[in-house]
Formats: sequence, C-alpha cells, structure tokens
Amino acid sequence: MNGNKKNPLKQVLAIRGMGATLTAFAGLIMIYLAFGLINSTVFTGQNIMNLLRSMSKYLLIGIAQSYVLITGNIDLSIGSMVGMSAMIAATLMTLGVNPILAIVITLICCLAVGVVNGFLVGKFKLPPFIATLGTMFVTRGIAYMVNGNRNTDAIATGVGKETADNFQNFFYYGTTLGIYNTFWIAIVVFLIFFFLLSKTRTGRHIYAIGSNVDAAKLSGVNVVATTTKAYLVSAICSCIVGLILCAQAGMGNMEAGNMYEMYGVAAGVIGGVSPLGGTGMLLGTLAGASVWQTLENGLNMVGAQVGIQRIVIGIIVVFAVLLDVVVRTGQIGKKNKNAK
Amino acid sequence: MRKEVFRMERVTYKEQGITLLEDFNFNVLEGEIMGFIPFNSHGMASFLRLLKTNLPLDDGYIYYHEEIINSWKGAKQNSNRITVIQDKTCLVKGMTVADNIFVLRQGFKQHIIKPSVLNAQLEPFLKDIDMDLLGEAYAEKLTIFERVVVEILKGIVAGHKLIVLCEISTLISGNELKKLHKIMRHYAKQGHSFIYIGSHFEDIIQVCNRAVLLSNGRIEKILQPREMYVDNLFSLTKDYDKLVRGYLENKKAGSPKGKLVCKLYAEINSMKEPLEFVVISGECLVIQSLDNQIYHELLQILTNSRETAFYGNAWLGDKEFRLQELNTNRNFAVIQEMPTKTMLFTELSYMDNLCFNLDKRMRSVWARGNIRRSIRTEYAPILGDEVFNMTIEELSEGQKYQLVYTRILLQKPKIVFCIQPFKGADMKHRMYIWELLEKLLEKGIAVVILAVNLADTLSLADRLICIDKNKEQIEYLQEEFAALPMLAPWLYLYREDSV
Repeated sequence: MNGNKKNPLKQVLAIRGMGATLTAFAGLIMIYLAFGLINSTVFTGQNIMNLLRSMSKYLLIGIAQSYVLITGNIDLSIGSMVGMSAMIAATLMTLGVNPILAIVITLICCLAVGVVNGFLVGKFKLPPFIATLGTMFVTRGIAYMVNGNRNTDAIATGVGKETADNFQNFFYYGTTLGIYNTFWIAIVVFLIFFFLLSKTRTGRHIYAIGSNVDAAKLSGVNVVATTTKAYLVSAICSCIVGLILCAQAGMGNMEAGNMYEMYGVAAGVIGGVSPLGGTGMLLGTLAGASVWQTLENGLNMVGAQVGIQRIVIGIIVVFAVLLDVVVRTGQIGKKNKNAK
Repeated sequence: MRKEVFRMERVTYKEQGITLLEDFNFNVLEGEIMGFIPFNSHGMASFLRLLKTNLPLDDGYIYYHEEIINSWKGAKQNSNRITVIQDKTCLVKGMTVADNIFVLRQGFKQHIIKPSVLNAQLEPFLKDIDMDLLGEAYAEKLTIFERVVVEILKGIVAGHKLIVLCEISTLISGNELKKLHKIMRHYAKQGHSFIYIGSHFEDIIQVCNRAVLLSNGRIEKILQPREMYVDNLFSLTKDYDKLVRGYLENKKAGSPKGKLVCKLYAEINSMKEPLEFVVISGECLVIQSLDNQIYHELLQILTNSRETAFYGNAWLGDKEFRLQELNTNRNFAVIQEMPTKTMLFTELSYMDNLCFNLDKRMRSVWARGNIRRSIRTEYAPILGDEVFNMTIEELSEGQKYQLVYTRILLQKPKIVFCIQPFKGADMKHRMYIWELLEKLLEKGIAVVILAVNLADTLSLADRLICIDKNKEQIEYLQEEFAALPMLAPWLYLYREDSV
C-alpha cells in the first residue's frame, strides 16, 4: 500500500506528543553543551552520575504528575505524600520494624491516599485542584503527626546500622554497573509505567478521559476506575520518592517533598504533557526532568544564585505551557483574513 | 405596503480567500417569518456571523430598517440589534430570567436592582404568550424550550425587530415546537420578523410565509407563499429520494425477519407507563419523544448520566442487565448526537480512535502493532489510506462521521442507540449518515434511534414509537406510517404507496 511507505521521520513525529518530546531532548542537549562549554566540570563522570541520581527524583515525580495531567486533572498532594512516605517509613524503622515491612506499610498508606484522590475527583466530581489541595494538607498533617510533630531520629537507631546501610544503599547510595541505584529504580519504574501508558488498554483509557471524558464514558470506559488508577500511579511514585529521601537523609524529615508537586508539573509540561489533558508521553517527562535537573546543575556549576535558577526554570515552564496553548488553539499563523 | 426590516443585496463574503456567500439577495418584511433551508452547511456560519456583526464584505449591501448597516465600501465591525438563537445559549448561568432579560440589555441604567420590579415587568410578557415561567428562575434550570422563549423575550424587550432561530426543531419536542410556532406568530402579528432556519421543508412549511433555499453559499430559489409545497424541493433532493426509494423497495421485496436481540424496560418519571420495547436484529426502531423532559430522562439513561436512582433493565437474549450497565457492555453501543463533535478523541490518533472499542474483543490490540496494521490494511480501501496519517482536526466532516460509525462496526455490538443522528447535519451529510446507518442495519445490528424531531428517521424506520408526557406509548408499524397524524419528512413516500 502506497500510503504505508511514508517518510520515517514523519511517522515518528506523528506519534502523539513526540514533537514536544524531541524538542525537549534537543533543548536538553543544547543546555548541557552550553553549560559544559562554560564549565568543563559539567562533563565529568562524577557530575554525570550525580546528575542522573538527582534527576531520578524529578523523573519519578514527573511520572506521577504526568499520569494525572494526561487525564485532565492535577495532583497537588504529591509533595505531601512524599513527606508522609518518608516520615512513615522512617518512624517505623526507628521503631525497629523491618525495612521491607515498613516499605509495604508506607506503600499501603500512599495507595490509600491515591484511592481517596481518585474517588474525590472521579466519583464525587470534585475539582481536582480542590480535592488534592485538601489531601495535600491532610497528608502533610499526617507527616507531622506520625512522629509527634518532630523529625525522626536516624533509622539506624531502630533497625541497626547494617540494615539501615542496606536500606540507604538500595535506595540512594549504592551503585549497580557503576550507576547509582536511584537511577535504576527510576528507570525500572519509568519502563513499567511507560508500557502501561502506551501499550495497554488502561493507557488508552487514561488518554481518552483526558481528551473527551463524555465520549470515553459512552465508549464503555470506567471513568472512576481510570481516574483512580492515574492517582494510584501518582501515589506509588510519590511513595518511592519518599523512600529515596528517607534513604538519602537516613531519617524522616517532616518537610520532605515540599513543593515537589510543582516540580512534577514542570517536568511533565517541559516534556510536552499538556496541562489540559489528553496529550503527552512519558519519554517527554524523562526529557523534562532531565532539562530541569541539568538546568539546576548547570546553573549551580556556573555559580548562579538560587534566585536566578528559579527565575530561569519558571520562564521555561511558562514558555512550555504557552507553546502548548498556542499549538492547541492554532493561534500560530492565524491572521485576520477579512481585513482589507 | 409592508415595511422592509432586513435586506441583503448582492452580498458576497469571503474568508481566507474562500467565497462563503455569493451574490446573496433576499429581504425580510415586517411581521414576516422567513424560512431558510440550507442544503449544505457551506456559508451558513458566516451568514449568522454577518447577521450579528458587520464584517467586511467583498461586495453588496446590508440594510436593517431600510438603512445601510454594512457595505463593501466599509464595515464598522459593530454588532447589529438582531437576536440569533442557536443550540448554545446566550443566557448567563447563575442569573435569573428577569436579570437576563432586563438587566443584561443595552440601555439598562438603574444601579439598584429590585427583583420584584423586574418580575412585575416580566409578567405581562409571559401572560401575553401564555408561558408559565418564574422571573426568579435561574437560567441553568430552564428547559431548552423555556430557554428559547426567554431568548426571544430578551430580543423583544431589547427592541430587536429581527429574531433568527437556528435549527430549533432539533432541540425541542413536537409539542413544544407547536407552542413555539404560536409564539412566533403572535410576535409576527405585532410587527416582529423572524428568520427560521431548518433542514426540513416539512418543518419550515408549518410556520413560514416564504422560504429561501440555499446551497453552497448561494440562494438557489426563494419560494413565494403560493410555492410553499413539498414538490418544489424534489429537484434538490432527488439523489437522496432515489436512495431511500431503492432501500424501501428492497425492503418490501421481503427480507427475512431477524431474531429477537433486545428487550428494554425503563421507568421514566414523566411517563404514564414504563417504556417497554423489543428490537430484532437488523431492525430500525425510532423512538420519538414528544416531550422534552422524557427525552432528557431517556438521554440520561442511555449516557448513564442520570444522578437520581432509576429502575430499568435490558435483556440481551436470556441475559438480563441493569440499564446503568449499558455503557460498559460492548453488546450495546451509543452514538451521541452530533458525534463528530462529541464522540471523537481529538488528541488521539485516527487509529486509536478507530480501534478504541475493539479492546474488549481483541485484548492485545494496543500491545501488538500487527493487529492495528492488519486493521489498517483491511479498512484503508474503505476509509481511504490518507486518513490514517491525518489528525482528527484535519478530517473532513464526512470522514469524521465515517470514523465514528466504523468504530461502532468494529465493536460489533448487537444493538446501537443513536441519539438524533441527523441533528446538525446538512443534506450531503444526512445522506451520508443515512448510508452509514444502513450499513449497520445490513450487518444485522439493531438500531434504535432516539429523537425529538423525526428528521430523516422515517426513511429508515421499521417501527416508530411515540412517547408523550402522562400518556401511553403508541407504536406504529411501517405499514401504518402513511396514517401518521403529523407532517414529517419522507412521509410522502409511504402516503404515495397507500394511494
């Protein structure tokens, strides 16, 4: 068939969200090279390793927020859930609970929050901004209360130094094939959720409810279940990030994950995930998280102040959303043809 | 001599180099109800825009109250004092009827608003047209008929002498349409003029004095009062007529009766008895709701958007289902009204849209590219290979209809509920939809059409069930269509046969 013999580049670009993803990757390469030229330390192996490790947190948070954004919703409770996860896991371990059991209990708590978010938004039709704002406060409150309104002691005091080291190495300090485990964890999670989103029925349903929820409903999509699944993915990723932060500090910090929900939005949006729903791919989120972290790392390397870093990142996020809105509304090239 | 309220003289209008209106010549007299029958949608949106706003013309003049308001020499780009009532309301939600009519109008100068005064001002208007409506009612709580009447009143109060009603018969029930016609005649007598746009001459003929026939942005003919009979349209609808005649003749030749597919039972608040019907495979059943409340209840049941509990069951063979499960059971399919706007996922690819309902039949359709490739190979000759490389926005209206109906064909349901399938479609697309529906019937799928307005449904119907508020449902078999006590499109075919 003639139509099948197409330009391969065109075929790649025709994939939903691929254009924005490739743009983000191109931006990433340019940013990286630019910072590398200013300060050659950016190119060193250790810096790359550190970059990959710190990017992993943003990637996981980005995956969490992207799933929810694609359904046309938002999850403001991600950051607080990260804090809750870190605090629950750390508190349990300081009480001597086996880390595996602590992880399972933490995951169950986060999943419960995901279910609540999914039901509030999907079943009870609460505006996602308000619903997750509520759970944001609740989960942060839980993070505070878990250990009686104070940060936990070192987890080694409860489970012993060896177990604590194992836990910390598994999530943060250890390496496999020369790369930090944090990165491998993020990549495994990324691959699982990438497959779920692009190759399964659930993935199509997630896109469909973000694109046209009424049509999705008429086509037999269970909107409540699909919305809940997206919030569950968000909860799982938040839980893992919480555990990573717990491993990094070796203790639980009540303020852990503060503002992470916004970092998630930024990673997704820079990578082409539309905040209006229905569009985006996790490859883009990977690019978005990398851009974010490379910028932060590069600006640090060149000695930029924190304020400058925030301003640059803020401008990039606004620009990415503006691009999405302009492309969607087709304002580019639109002229008043009637004017004589 | 009657005054002229509106005139378009040699109007030619282009957008992005495309001629949308060409050499438009017509006038509307004081107290006249002028019908408009567009055979395709080309230029219709521009025509409505030009009525509302004075956009730059390529040629010609537009007069309102015998004064030039727009011409090719220059356009003020200002708004005209003309009310245009369409599918989408112009009433502000969260505000009352009285606020919408009186407060939100040009020239309302009062700073302190007294609801009781506004309501008292509204009362004579409502009494005048025998409408039972409260001034304090909120705009979003109104039925569509009430909304249309309030918009007419808003225009009347604002002093608009020309009111345009666009495809209203697809929005309100038969009973309400009769009331609306009465209100229009009432205001026409008082000197207000109307442009009444509708797709069916049978609808136009009931209320209009004259009618303009439009095609491709050109006026084909203006029917004078003595010419207002159906035969005058045959030359423009002969292809469609031929298609339907062929279909009905084939049907008469005797196709074997299909087997029972589905039995449905639904308790609807405003009906005297529960709605109950059976459908057999390959049968087209039309359910016409003469009452809008019933229609909306039915719509909510089919789209599973009813908030209050209700009782309803469907039997598919021996299996019993609750009506709440209708959307999740792939043996049932629902095609919403105006499906090209409501049923497509614009962010998903053509292939994703096409295969969307296939995943219960073929679980690995999303994981395995070879399934999608073989679907493409199979359907490319039918749908056109180029559509697979297009985004949803790039598809033509016809291609969008084809996509929606092919998706349903791929799903292979036993029964399809179509909600006003011909709504909002021009003649060309109505023919196309008709063919697509026929394709479903040909495959042995039972089609149940839900409508407030019969439109083209009688051209396909094997049976018609009419439902009305506090009345029992009345069923008509195809042989009885000729005796239907109404004026509806395609009835003449059955009446010809009975003669």
